[in-house]
Amino acid sequence: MKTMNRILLASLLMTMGSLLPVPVLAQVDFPDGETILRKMDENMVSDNQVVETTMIVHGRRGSRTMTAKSYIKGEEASFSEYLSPAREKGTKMLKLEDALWIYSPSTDRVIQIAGHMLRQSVMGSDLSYEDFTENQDFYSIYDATVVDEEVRYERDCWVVQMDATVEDVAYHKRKVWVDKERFIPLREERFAKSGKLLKTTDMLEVFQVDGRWYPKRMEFKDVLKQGKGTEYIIDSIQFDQDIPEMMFTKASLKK
Amino acid sequence: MIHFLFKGILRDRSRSLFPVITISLGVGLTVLLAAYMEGAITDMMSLTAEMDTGHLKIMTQEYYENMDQMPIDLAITERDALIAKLDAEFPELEWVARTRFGGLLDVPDADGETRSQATVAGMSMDILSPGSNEPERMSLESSLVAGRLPERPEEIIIGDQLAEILEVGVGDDVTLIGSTMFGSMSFTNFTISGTIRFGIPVLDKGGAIVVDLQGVGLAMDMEDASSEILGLYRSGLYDREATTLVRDRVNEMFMDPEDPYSPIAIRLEDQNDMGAMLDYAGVMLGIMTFIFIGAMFVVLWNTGLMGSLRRYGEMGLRLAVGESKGHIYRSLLWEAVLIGIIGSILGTGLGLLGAWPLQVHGFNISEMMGNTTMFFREVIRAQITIETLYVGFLPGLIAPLLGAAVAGRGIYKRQTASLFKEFESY
Repeated sequence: MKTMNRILLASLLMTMGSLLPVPVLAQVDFPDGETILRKMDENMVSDNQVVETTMIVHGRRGSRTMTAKSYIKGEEASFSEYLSPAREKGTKMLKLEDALWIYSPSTDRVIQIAGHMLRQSVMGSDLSYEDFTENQDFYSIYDATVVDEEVRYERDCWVVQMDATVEDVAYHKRKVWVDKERFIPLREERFAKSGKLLKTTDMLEVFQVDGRWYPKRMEFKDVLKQGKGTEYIIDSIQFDQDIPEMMFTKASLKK
Repeated sequence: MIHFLFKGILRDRSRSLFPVITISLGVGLTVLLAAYMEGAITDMMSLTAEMDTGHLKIMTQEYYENMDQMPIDLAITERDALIAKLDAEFPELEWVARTRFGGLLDVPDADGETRSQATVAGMSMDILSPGSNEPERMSLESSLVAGRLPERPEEIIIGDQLAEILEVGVGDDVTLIGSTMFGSMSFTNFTISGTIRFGIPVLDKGGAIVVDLQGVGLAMDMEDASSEILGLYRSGLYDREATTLVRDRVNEMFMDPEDPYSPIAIRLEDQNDMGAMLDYAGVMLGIMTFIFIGAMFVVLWNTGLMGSLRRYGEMGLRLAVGESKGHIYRSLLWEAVLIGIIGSILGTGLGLLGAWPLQVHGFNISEMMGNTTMFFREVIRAQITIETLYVGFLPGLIAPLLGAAVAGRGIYKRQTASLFKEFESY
């Protein structure tokens, strides 16, 4: 008898369920992740660039401001010279592939920094040497999937999940909020292979230069580091310039 | 009665020899281990205080939270004024500034480019001021392998092992790469004035470099700053209660809970797990004594039982002539006490005989130290103190007394009525 009752109850519930209106799920067509990456790379990546920057490091006990001029060639070479403050002025850094040399005028020495140090902080900031000189197209090293859409800084964005396709990469996963119209990242979360969040980047201001949308003012935060983040401001940027090859040699460090 | 028992013990060696040997060995081992542990703990405490923690350490509250990272950006500022106030308020302690830092030590080739490089753990103290006790406190002079102490801020001493790895020696120039206390990158050239071997694994294996405070001031923008201020009793002796009072007073005077960069004082035992280590040492000594008492008790109980078998006739006769069971039992206990005293005296002598060469020559434990982060010397020396002279008497007296008390219960089981029957069988 009990079994009979249960069957009847189940049948009743099923019948009632079939009469209830079924909510229709909104079908959103997300664009292809690869397309987003290509369009983003068109904005962010260039054969070379000459850029003047201001970096404001908000440390635990105060802030420091540094200015630098960098010459960046693709993903393989970069040369930077610090212009201010007085303590850093004249310090030069040369990065060739995975090697980094630093020239310090106070010691008149060219010092080679081991490869693994490239992921260490630059001048106590929240940027690593790799962040500082990043000019690699995402498309060639990440698989991308659009996972959502959100509004960031009052702009409609695609939320793109990026997974590295190569091993030797600083961030194995990235989550990027890409402006739907301008195809420029407005926020980024960078993760280790384990999935641990390492760094966040917020593009607080963007500008248009040579037909590209590019970040003007960014805020980097190394979440593993105490401090209040680092502001990174692009004072000027020129793309695809005629930079002499000599610039990317050790000889240029002592000049 | 004691005189009578004492004569018995001396004349009847079969009654006393084995228990005395057992007690002497047990007490000897207790004394030896107590002296060794006393030496090891005292040495570790004074070494830790002098090299690292002070009897009291003052730092900023934020630095205290992140002490393991040696964050020089959280250092104490206006250091000299603070030390002057501490000197005036607590003259029983000597207040000294220290800075610990990490960095890279880079060795140039003939063209000034990197030839070799190593990460280093830097220690900075007042070496150059005339009358500074720091070089002696850190045993810098006596630990030198080659060269001399720094005579200028731009000179540096580096670990002997580190010098070998980097293939550098006295007179060579090196560059220290680190960061200033404000976070800037810092490059400073130093000349190696000497190489050092502290004989303390945690320092010798850690790529130690030693720089004067002025040198670090120049390199890291720390002219009137240091990561730590150590307070060390001028007597050299750590007093837990007095230190607690000083700590509370310092915190009352200078600490502001609202300001994470205001100073906080920490006692020696609140750092590097020293408190746990001291408690552990006390517990270990207690366990050791307990084990010896236990082991000797079992052996002496057994000896007492064998003795009562051998002295079966003697006890019977004493009962037969009218001696009470309680009197015989008490005389056995007194006999045990006398044997305990003799054994303890001999055992203490034996222990001291073993501890003395261990105090003079020490015992090299460097092979067993592995990658310990504690401040131990490679050679641990025993330390004979007043306590060492009496520490063995507790197990030396309790064990035979317990043994005799348990074994002697057999006296109460003897039936007086059957005594003469037993004698007939002899």
